[in-house]
Amino acid sequence: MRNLIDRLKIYNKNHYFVVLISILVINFFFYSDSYAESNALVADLSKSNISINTDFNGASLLLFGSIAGEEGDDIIVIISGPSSEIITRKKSKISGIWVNSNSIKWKNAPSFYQIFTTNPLSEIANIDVLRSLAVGTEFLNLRYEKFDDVETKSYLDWRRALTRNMKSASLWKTNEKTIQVIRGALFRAEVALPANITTGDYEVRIIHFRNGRFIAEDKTAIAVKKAGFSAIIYHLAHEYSIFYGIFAIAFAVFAGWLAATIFQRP
Amino acid sequence: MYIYFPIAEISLNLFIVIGLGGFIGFLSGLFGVGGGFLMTPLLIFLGIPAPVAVATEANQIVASSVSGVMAHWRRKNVDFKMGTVLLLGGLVGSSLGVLLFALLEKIGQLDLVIKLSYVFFLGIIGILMLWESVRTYIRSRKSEFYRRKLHDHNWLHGLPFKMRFRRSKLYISALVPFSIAAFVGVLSAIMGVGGGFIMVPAMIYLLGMPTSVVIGTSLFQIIFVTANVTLLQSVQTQTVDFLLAGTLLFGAVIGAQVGTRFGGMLRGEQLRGLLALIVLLVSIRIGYELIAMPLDLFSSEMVK
Repeated sequence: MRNLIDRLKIYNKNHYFVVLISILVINFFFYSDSYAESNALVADLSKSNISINTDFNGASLLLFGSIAGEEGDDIIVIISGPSSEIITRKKSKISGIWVNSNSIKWKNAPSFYQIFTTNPLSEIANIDVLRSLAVGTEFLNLRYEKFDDVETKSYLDWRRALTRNMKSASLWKTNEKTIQVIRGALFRAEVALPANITTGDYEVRIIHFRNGRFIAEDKTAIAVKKAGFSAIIYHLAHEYSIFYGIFAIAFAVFAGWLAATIFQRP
Repeated sequence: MYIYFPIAEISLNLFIVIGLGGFIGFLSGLFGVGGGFLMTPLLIFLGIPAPVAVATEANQIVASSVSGVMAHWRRKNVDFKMGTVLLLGGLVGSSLGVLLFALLEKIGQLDLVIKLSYVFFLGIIGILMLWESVRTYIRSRKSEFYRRKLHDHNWLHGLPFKMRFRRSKLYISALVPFSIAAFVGVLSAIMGVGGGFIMVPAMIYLLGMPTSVVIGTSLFQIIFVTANVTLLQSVQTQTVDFLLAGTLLFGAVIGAQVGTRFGGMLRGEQLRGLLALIVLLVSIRIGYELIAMPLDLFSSEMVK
């Protein structure tokens, strides 16, 4: 019996030893790892799922994280929504009335594109750096389909019009000076998503700059989904459209009958 | 308090939507009209996509017409035989209207056609009603005795498929009410209205129906036309927002009751004159949008 206890003690000693070695080894790896990536950037969101239920009126969330940075470093955050087809139309005056004449169909435009920054974009990095990192809607590589007699030389007008229209719908936007960096180590940004966002997967890119140079980038995502009663109605309308239509009619007939019965005058 | 409408995909203040329903319901109770010609433009003005506004309004009109027809039914003011001919025409017309709607949307001219229809038809009806009510007002002042013939005979009465409509005291070709209803059905589907504001004058002046059965019969056929539009739009474009229709309905039902009570205090030609002014104002307002230089010549729209 005693022999056994001794053996266990020895075993335990060995065990401690193994654990100690492992910790040192792991520590070493960790240390070297963090040493190699001195520009480590870690970011997260307070919410990565957004539910659009019947009480939805936009969402606000907190984006936060840490950088291995210095005082005066900059952060740019880009949230881009699922790509969509967008038709841009131009009106012309035809016999005194404004009529849609020409149009262009963008094949892969982001339904949402908002930039959040610590400082004005032009102060963070020069345009070549921004272009190489694809920061800004002007650097989106949009494919398009021309209709009618849209001339290629007027392409820029159309491109600007798209940006202008999306901006006025608050879907494409640059929110400068909306990120705070605390002691060059932590950053936070309050992000407000408008009520007219589409459902789908949103990509969030977080980019760290120092003196106009790219340091590091991290990515995360937001999933926007319809939920609850709102999701049920949407689902029924799209998957069981005949029954949905019949139900909508039946409900209207019932409501009309009920109203007439309640308010019936003797 | 905001509410997100899942098909319209827009968040609106619940009280504004109920209030809008109540206001239009009040006017419809006051004047005895459906109110679609006011509701649909206002929904679009609130930011609801035109296809959703038109299809949802059709759904709401089903309810207000059912509610309205019941009072007329009790008083036996519905000509069911005429109503059936009209609704058959209305079903054909509104089905064509829904197809035309989809086509216009595809080529990007839906907005224009909706606006032009509003300007043209509301303009004509508004002017006619205003003229009629001013004339009646002047006559009543002069207290001149005036009597109209039951109806005038014209070439419309020479067409084939003659039918006898006892309730309406008419013996006319079924083709006439059928075609009128088909035409109004097309407009109903495109404009998001019941079409009563065209149907009622057409029944009185073109068909020569007695005024007593006109409104009940018109409401009766509007139920079927708007139900048809609701069903076809549900299947074809999935643009019927059930939650929006229900919310508007809630306000409209209460507003209509208040409106009906107020309506009793005003004289017929005063009511018609007031309605004519509202109709003309809507027509002019929408006409102005077509003529005025847009703030931005370009507009962008996401494709579903």
